[in-house]
Amino acid sequence: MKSQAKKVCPTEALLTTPSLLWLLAFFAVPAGLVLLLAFRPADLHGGVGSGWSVAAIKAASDPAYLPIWWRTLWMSGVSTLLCLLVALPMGYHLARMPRRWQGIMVLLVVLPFLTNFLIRVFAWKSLLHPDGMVCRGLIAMGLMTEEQQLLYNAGAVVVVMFYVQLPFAILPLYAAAEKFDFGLLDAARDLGAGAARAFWEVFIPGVRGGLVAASLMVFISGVGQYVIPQIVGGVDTEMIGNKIAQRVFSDRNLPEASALSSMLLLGVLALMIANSLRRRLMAKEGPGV
Amino acid sequence: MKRSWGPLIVTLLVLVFFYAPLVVLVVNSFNESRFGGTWEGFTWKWYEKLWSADEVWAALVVTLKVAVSATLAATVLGTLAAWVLRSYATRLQGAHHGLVMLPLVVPDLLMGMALLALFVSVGMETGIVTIWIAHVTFCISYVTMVVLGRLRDFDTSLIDAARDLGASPWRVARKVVLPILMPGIIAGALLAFTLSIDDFVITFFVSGPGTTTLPLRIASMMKTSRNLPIINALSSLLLCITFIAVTLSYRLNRPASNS
Amino acid sequence: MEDFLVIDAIRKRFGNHPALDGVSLQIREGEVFSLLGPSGCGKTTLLRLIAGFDSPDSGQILLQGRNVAGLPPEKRPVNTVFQNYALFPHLSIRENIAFGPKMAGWARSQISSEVARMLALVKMEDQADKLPSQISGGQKQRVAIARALVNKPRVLLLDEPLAALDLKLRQHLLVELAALHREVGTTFVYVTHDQAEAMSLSHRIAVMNAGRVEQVDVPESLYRAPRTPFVASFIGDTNLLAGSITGTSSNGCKVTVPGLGVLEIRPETPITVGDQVTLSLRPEDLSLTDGKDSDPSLVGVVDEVIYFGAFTRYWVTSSNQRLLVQTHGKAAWARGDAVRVAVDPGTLHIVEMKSSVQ
Repeated sequence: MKSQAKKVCPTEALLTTPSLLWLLAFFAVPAGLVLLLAFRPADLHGGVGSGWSVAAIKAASDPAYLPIWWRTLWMSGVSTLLCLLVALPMGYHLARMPRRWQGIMVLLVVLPFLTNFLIRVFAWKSLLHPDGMVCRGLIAMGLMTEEQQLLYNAGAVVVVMFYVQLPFAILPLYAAAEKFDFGLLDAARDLGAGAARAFWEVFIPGVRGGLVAASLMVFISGVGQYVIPQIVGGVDTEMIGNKIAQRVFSDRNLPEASALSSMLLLGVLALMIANSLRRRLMAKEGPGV
Repeated sequence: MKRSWGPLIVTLLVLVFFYAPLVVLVVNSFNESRFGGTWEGFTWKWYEKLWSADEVWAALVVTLKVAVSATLAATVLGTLAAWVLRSYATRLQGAHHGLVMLPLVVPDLLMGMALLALFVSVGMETGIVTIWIAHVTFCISYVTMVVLGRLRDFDTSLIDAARDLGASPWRVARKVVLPILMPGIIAGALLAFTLSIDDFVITFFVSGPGTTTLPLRIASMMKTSRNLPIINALSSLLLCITFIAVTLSYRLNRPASNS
Repeated sequence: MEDFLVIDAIRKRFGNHPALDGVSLQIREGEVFSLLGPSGCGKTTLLRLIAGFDSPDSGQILLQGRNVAGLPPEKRPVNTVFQNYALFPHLSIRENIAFGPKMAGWARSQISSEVARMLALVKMEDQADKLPSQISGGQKQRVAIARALVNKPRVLLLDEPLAALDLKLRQHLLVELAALHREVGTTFVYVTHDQAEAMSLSHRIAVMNAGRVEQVDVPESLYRAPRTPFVASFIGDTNLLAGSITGTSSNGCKVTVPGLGVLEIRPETPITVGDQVTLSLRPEDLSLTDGKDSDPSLVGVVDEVIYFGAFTRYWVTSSNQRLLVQTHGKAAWARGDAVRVAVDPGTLHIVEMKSSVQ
């Protein structure tokens, strides 16, 4: 019943208003306000002063933030790569399972994602803790000494990020693989490609849409991370999210936090716009994602 | 055709990777030892301590209040949004769709920051109302997504059929559309409820001094090691609830053809 | 009763695409009237306009003299059997059939007796309490018809009701449908792209193409006397040949067709010497004779023979034309044989005419 008309009829306007208005008021407008607050002076009581100022922007552009931005990008990048590396074969495997099993497997993938986020991070903290199972085990096997630490370093942050984000990578890749015509792989094998070659040259291009969606989801959720580095990371693993949280909750400097958030927000939006442009371009060129 | 073992092995390893930390957590909630590195005997004492931790139960009450009310509002708004998105193909719906899907991608941190900016700008005191607003906002998108998924299989000729048989638009909605969509709507509501109970980051930004939800309470408990085993016990209980809710929602949202 | 349901100069556009381009039809009370055409010809659009799911850009739909074009579907005394049946999946068969009467606010006792009568009519009494997902495609189709008929519509609209079923079942249900129509006597408007379905079920057929009605006629006339090249080739197989009028004869005129020679024809419209015409020749109206002693310009070569059991088909090439010929029984000619194609006089039909006089 997709209406062909481009004109908005009263019924449509009436039914659209509630959700549209809510999301405008509590999502779009607030996002705009963040950009606006970046140009306000801070006041001493943790609020926002009147008038305009570029002080917050200047503070947020301090070169001291550069290493933190860099760390944010590379840690997100590494965890994205790890996620794709694991999610690709898993998406492939899930899509080839019998229908009944696919539903159950998707459920098993979604379950950890729906488990309380803090609890999952906490579980890892207990595991990696010097008195936890992993450390005890490694020491018992002689692979680690009492002085060494598994927690509070970049490795711990990346592992936990990978753990938390993996479902975001598996689900879009599974969705793409499910639509993939596996007969094409047989055709490639028939034409002389080996299993690995067929996977690489036929399957991967076939699920390109899911691959891009998965990378974006994981990477964007990575750069916005701050709880994981705060709980399992140390001083030298802080990400930009930690800085934003510190500006808000410790320094009570809302304008500087807004300035940093604006940069992050614009970066995220740029990625998403680039992606939608890419998709529009692909749609023009022909079918396929 | 010969199957390669690689993907299967990866899949099994991932499942172990997903569930091992959670299993260890549940096991440790019954472990006499504080850090759970070694098994020192079975005990109920952490659950007993949890039982008498009044601040946890107070936080649970706040969480449930927010979750129930936010789920109700988000389910109504999200179902309506999914319906208009499916029914019309105007430019307005293009913008609407973008606005619904963006919150799914934008990091929680930025959403929390944005809502905080709003509440500070309009001088609204943070508390249970601001938490409710924030939760409704992110839940709408998830409900819409789930109901839209259900609507994809919805045969629109059923609407034509009902009108052909004399039903007014309002009766079509009540007698045909809602009953058929109900499993999807309930699944969406369960997802919203779960996410609302779980949310930490956004809530942290928009909560006031007097209002502590369960995740906020857990975060503050994590700062003292004395509490760690109690968190194990609490986490195990929450895991149970999530598993039940998700399984329920999965059974409801299975395609009707399976029945 | 020519004016029971009148479609009057209906136009409907979707974007820049004219789906219906001035369609007029008169449908009689109690007949089975088919809208036949390839997909995209506008037949389903027309059906949806009659049902009220869409409204025409211009034109009228008169049911017993009353214009219904402005009424919403729930206010029209017509009901539809949908292509995919559109049975409500959450209601039992019985509840599906009772849906319309409930909406109309019938008394409870009347609903249950009428529903029972319908269940008996379509022989679904045993399945009444099952859900649509628990019955077969053919049964769904019968329930869809019962659900529509229980409302006692003036017109029953059927939108390709057999398209989703396999061939055997389709043929069986076609017989059932004809019997059902005899029993209830309701006016049926039947949309299909399958000419065999339309020919076997309908009293009259409107052949549609590209948003227009090409010809309205009884099945026999559509086959024997198609009036346009489209109708001739859409209904059954035919050979469309170009010819020119080269003279007159005692009871008609002479038309010269390359490869077939001079043929006699009795045109239905005035015609003059020099006019260019397109002729339709059904394969079974042609026959083959030995071509050895004939005028070489009339001799063709058999280049394909396919045996179908009851008949045999030949493709004969002569003078740059390829003719399809169908004869009874087994093949009498083989590939490569030189043959002459003979035409059964009186079966020729002019389907298009270009006058030489401006």
